[in-house]
Amino acid sequence: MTAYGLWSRQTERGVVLPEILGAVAILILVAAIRIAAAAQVPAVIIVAIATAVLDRFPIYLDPIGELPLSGVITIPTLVLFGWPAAVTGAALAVVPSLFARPARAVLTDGADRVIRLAAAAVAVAAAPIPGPYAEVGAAIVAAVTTVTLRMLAMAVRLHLDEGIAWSRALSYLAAATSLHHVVVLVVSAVTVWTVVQDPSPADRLLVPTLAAAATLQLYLPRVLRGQEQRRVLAAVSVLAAAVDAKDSYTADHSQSVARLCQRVARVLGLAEPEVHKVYLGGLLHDVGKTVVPPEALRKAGPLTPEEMEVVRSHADAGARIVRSIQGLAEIAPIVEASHERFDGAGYPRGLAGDDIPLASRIILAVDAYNAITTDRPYRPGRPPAVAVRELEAHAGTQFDPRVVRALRAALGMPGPPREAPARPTWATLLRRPAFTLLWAGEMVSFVGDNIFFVALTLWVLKLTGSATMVAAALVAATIGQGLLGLLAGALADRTDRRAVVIATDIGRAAVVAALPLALTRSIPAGFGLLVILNVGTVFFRTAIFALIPSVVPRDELATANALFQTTQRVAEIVGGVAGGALVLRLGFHLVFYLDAATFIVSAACVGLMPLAWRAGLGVAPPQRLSADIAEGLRYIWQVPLHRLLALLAVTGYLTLAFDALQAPMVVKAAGLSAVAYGAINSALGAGKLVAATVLIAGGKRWATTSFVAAMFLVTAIATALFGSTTRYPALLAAAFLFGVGNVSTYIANATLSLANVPSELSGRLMASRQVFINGTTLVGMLVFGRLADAAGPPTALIALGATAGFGVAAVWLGMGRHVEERALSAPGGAAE
Amino acid sequence: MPELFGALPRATQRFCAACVLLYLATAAWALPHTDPGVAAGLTAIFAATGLVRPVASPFGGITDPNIGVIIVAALLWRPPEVLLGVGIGSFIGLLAFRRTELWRAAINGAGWGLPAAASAAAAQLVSPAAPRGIAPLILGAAIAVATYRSANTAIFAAYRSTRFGRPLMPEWLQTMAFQWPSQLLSAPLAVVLALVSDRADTTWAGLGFTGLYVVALPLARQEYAYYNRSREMLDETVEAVVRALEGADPGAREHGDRVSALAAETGRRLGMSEHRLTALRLAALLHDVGLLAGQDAETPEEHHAAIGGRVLAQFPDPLIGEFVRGHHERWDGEGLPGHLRGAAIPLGSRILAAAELYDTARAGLGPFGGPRSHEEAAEYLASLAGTVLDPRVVTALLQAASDLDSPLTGPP
Repeated sequence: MTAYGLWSRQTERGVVLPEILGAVAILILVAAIRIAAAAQVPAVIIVAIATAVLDRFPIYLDPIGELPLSGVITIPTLVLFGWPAAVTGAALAVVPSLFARPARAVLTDGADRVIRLAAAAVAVAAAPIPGPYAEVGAAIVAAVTTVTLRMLAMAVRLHLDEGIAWSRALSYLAAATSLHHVVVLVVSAVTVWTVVQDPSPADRLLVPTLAAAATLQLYLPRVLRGQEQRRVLAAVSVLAAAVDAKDSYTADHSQSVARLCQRVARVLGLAEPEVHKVYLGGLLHDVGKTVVPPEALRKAGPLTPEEMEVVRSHADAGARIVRSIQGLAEIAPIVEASHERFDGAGYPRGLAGDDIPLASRIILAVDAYNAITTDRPYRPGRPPAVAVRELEAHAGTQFDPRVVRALRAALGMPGPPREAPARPTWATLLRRPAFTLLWAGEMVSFVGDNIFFVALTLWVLKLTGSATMVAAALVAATIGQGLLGLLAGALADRTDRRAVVIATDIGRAAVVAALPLALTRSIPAGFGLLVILNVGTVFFRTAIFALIPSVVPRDELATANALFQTTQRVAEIVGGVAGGALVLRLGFHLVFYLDAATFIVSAACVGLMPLAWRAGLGVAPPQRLSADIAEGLRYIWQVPLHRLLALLAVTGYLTLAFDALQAPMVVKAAGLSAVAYGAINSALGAGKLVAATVLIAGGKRWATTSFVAAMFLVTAIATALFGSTTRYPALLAAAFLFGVGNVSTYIANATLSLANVPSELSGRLMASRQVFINGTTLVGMLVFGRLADAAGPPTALIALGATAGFGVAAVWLGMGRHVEERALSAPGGAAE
Repeated sequence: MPELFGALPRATQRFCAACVLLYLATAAWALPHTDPGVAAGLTAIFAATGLVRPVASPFGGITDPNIGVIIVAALLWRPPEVLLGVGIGSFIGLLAFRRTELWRAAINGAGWGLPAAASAAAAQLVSPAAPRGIAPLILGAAIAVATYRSANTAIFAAYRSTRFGRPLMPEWLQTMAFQWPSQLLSAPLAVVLALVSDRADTTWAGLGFTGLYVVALPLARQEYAYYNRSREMLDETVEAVVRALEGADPGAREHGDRVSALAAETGRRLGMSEHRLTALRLAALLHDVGLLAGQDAETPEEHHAAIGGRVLAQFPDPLIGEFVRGHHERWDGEGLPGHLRGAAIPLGSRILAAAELYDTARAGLGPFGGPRSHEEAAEYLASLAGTVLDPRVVTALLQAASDLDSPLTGPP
C-alpha cells in the first residue's frame, strides 16, 4: 500500500475478514492442487495464462473499481475439467499481478476467487441439471453462483469503503454490471455447449481459450476506455494535489474534502453520476489557489482587505481553469459557486438558496468542516463533534441545513434528539400511565372473555349433548351486537365512557357469576343471561375504543389500535389454550367465577386511570337517542372519507362469512381431521398476530384508504383461494393470508375513522362501524351458507371471495380515488 | 467518367474502373454457385455495418468496423456468398448510410469484397468442410486474416499510389504493417463463431451470431469515442497543471516540453519500452510539480522531488511518481531525497536528471546566466558524468540532443 503513497486509500478492506477467507482459500487450494496435479497440468496452465491475460484488461467501473472478465475462462474450466483445475489455474493467475500491486490486495483477490469458484462447484454439485443440457446447466449454475457472490462482495466493499447504503449499492451494482455478467454467462454456456457437442481433448483446451480471446476482443474498446478514464481521474487528482502542495498546511485537503463530499452526496440520495460530479468538484474546489501567491494562503492570522480580495479571486480563477478542461466543463459552475453562502452573502455572485448548485453547497459545508478539524498555523484542529456543532450554528445562514444534517449522518454521528421524531412504539404508549391501566385492564378482560367462551361451549355441550344448542348459545352470546350497536354508540357519546366501561364490567361480572346457577337450572334462562352479557359487552367495547383517543395523542392512535388488536389476538390464543386446561383443573363453576373476577380487575384499572371524569366528552345538546343515531349515520354519509370506509366495510366484511364456511370446507370438502381444523384456525390467528405486529412497526403509515381497500382485496383473494384447494398446506396458507388481511383492514379502518372524527361523535361512529360489520356478516353468512348447502363449500367460498373482491374494487374505483384523506397529524377534535 | 469520379487522376480512374469490373466479372461467375439465403443475409449484415461510422483507433489510424466481421464471414461461408455479401452489402451500406460518392462506394465494395472472397477461399483450402476440427479452423483463420490483409492493402496501396504518385511497394508494406494486432484479435472470435455454427448445424446460427456481432459494433465505436475524449481530457488536465507551474515559475512550460522530448529520445536510445517512455514523457512534463509547494524545506521528504513524487503517485502507473521522486538523486549517492546510488536510481530518474541539467544549461537558466551552445552543455554534462550523472545516460543523451538539435541549429 505504501506504493500508492500519501494518498492511498485509508481503508483497503477486501471482503469481510480477509484473513479467515484467506485461510479457507489456502485449504481449498491445497486440496485442488493435490487433485489437479495428477492429470490436468495442461488445463491448469492454459487457465492460468488466460485468466492472467483477462485480469490484465479489466473493465473499469466507477466507483466499483475493476471488474475482470475472467469468468469466461474459469467457469467453462470448472465444468469441463472439474473444480481442482479451475481453482488451481485461477489461483496461479494472480501471480503476475504481484509485480504490479500490493501483495495483500493481490492475495485477497486470489482468495476471493478461489472461494467463489469452490462455492460454484458446490452449487453445481448440489443442483445437478438432468438431461442433454447437463453441462450447459452446470455452467449457468456456476456463473450465477460466482456472479452472486461477486456482487455481494462488491456490495460489502461499496458499503464499508464508500458508505453507500446496502439497497443503493445493490441496485447500482445490478444496473452497472448486469450486462457484463450476462455476457460472461452466455459466453460460458455457449463455450461449454460447443465443446460438449464434440469433446475432443484439443477442443476442451482450445475452445475456452479462444472464447476468452474473442470476449477480450469484443471488450477491448471498453477496457481501453476504462484505463484512460482512470488516467484522467489521476491527472485531476494531480491537479488537486498540486493545490494542496502549494498550501502545505492542508496537504491532502482536496482529497479528503472530495471523499467526504461524496459521502454526503450519497446520504442526500444523489444518483451515482451526480455523486461523481460532486467528487470532482470537491477535488477541484480550490484549484484557483494555484494562481494566488502562497504568502496570502499561508499567512497566520487575519488577512488585510487586499489579501482577502486576492483570495476571493480564486473562485473565478478556479472555474476558468476547470472550464479549460473540456470534459470537466460541467464541473466549472460547481467550483465557481463553492463559496456562495446559503443566505446570499457569499462570493463571487451572491447566489442564495437553491440557486446555488447542490454540489457547491455540499462542498462549502465539507470544506468548512475540514478547515475546522485540521490544524492551522494560528490554532490546532478541533474535534469533529465541535465542528459539526459549529456548522449547525450557521445552518440556514452560511450553510444549507439539509446538507449539514446529511454531513452529520455521513460522519456517522447520531442526529440530535429533536431531529428524530420517535415513532410511537408499545414502549412509548405504555409510558403513559392512563393508557397502561386501560390496556392492562383490557388484557385481563380479553383473556377472561376467551376462557369464558371455551368453558361455555364445553359446558353447554356437556349439559345438552347437542351441537345445535352450542350454536344457539354462541348466537345468544353475539346477537346483541347487531341489535344494540347503534344505541350503544349514542349512549357512549352522551355519558362518560369511563363510567360506561366500569358499569358494564361490574354488570358483566355479576351476570357471569350468576350463569352457572342459571345454566344448571334452566338452559333458556342461561341463554337469556348470555344475551344480557353480550349487550354489556357491546356497550363495553364501544366505550373502550371511544376512550382510547382520550388517553393517547393522535399520532399514536394507530399504534394504540394495533396494540389492542394484538392483545386481543394473543388473548384468543392464550385464553383458548388456558380455557381447556382450566376447565379440566378447576371445573366449570370456578372458571366462570374467575372470569367474573377479571371483569372486576378491568373495572378497577379503568377506575384508577389518572384522567378527569367525563374527559373527552363532547358538550352535546340534550336530544333524543334516535336523533343521535341519525346524526351519526348522517355524519358518516356526509363525510366522503367515512362514506368510503363504510361502503368498503359493507362489501369487504362479507368475507367474515368465511367463519361459517371454514369448518364445512375443511372437514367435509377437503376431508381433513378436526386436528387439521384446529391448525387452520391457528394459522388464521397467526396471520392476525403477524399483521397486527407489522402494523405496529409501521405506525400510522398504513392508515390510508388505499391500504384498507388493498387489504380487503387480500381477504377476498384468500377466501377464494381457500375454496379452490383441498391441499392441507394450501389451506393453511390461505387461512393465514385471510388473518393478515382481516386484521389489517380492521386496524387501518379503525385508525382512519378515529383520527378523522370529532371527539363527540367518535362513540357513534365506532358503533355504526360495528353495525355495518355485523349486518354484513349476517347477510354473508345467510346467503353463502345457503349456497354452501346447495353447491358445496368450495363454490360458496369462491363466490364469496369474488363478490367481496369485485364489490371492494367497484367501491374503490368508484369513489376511492376522489377521497382526500385528512392527514393524521392535522389538528382535530379527537385528541383533547 | 469525370463527373462520376470527381477530380481523380486518370490513372486512378482507370484503376478503380478495373477493380470494379473485375469484381463484377467475378460476381457474375459466382452468382450461380451462391446460396441465395446466405448471400442475402450477408448483404444485409454488411449493409448494416455502413451505419457504424469509423472512429480513431487507440492503436493509431482509423478503424473501419467491418473488418472483424469480414474475417468471421470468410471463415463461416463459401467464397461466392462472401464475395456477393461483402461487396454488395458494403456498397449499399456506404451509399445509403454514409452518403459517399458512387465511385467511392464502388471501389470500397470491390476492395473489400474481392479480398474477402480470396480469404474465404484460402480458409477453405485449409479446412474444407464442416464439421471442422479446431486446429484447421485456427489455421484457416490465420490464413484468412493474412490473405485479406495482403489483398486489401494491395488494392488500396495501388489506389493511393496512382492518386498521390507514391511508390507502390513501400506504400503497400507500410499499410500492411499497420494495425496487425487488432486484426489478429478478430481471428479467435471468427473461430468460435465458426465452431458454434458448424455444430449448431444450421446456417441461421452463424448468420444470427454474426448479426449479433454487428449489433455490438456501435457500442465499440461509442467506447472508442469515449476513449478519445478521455485522452483529450488527460492532455488538458496535464496542461492545466503545467499552466499552474508556469504561473509559479515562468518558462516552466517550455522547459518541461524540451526536457520531455529530450528525455524520451534518450530513453528510446537506451532501449526503454514504449510503456516506460510514456511514463517518462509525463514525468518530464510534470517533474517540477513539487515546486508549487514553494521553497524546498530542510527535510528530504519536503524536497520538491519528494513532494512531486507523492503528488504524481496518483497516477495508476507508479513509474511516473518514481521517476520524478528520483530526479534529484546523484549517481554517487549524494543526492536527495533518498541518497540512492547508481543503478538503485530508476533509469527514468537518471535520464530526467541529465536532461534537466542539459536544458538548464542550453536555456541559460539558473546559475548559467545565459544560453550555452550544445558543445558547452555537452562539456558540462561530461564533467558531471560519474559523480552526479550516469555516464551511460550522458553518452546517449548527448547523441540524442545533437540529433534533435541538428535540423534547427546546424553545424557551427
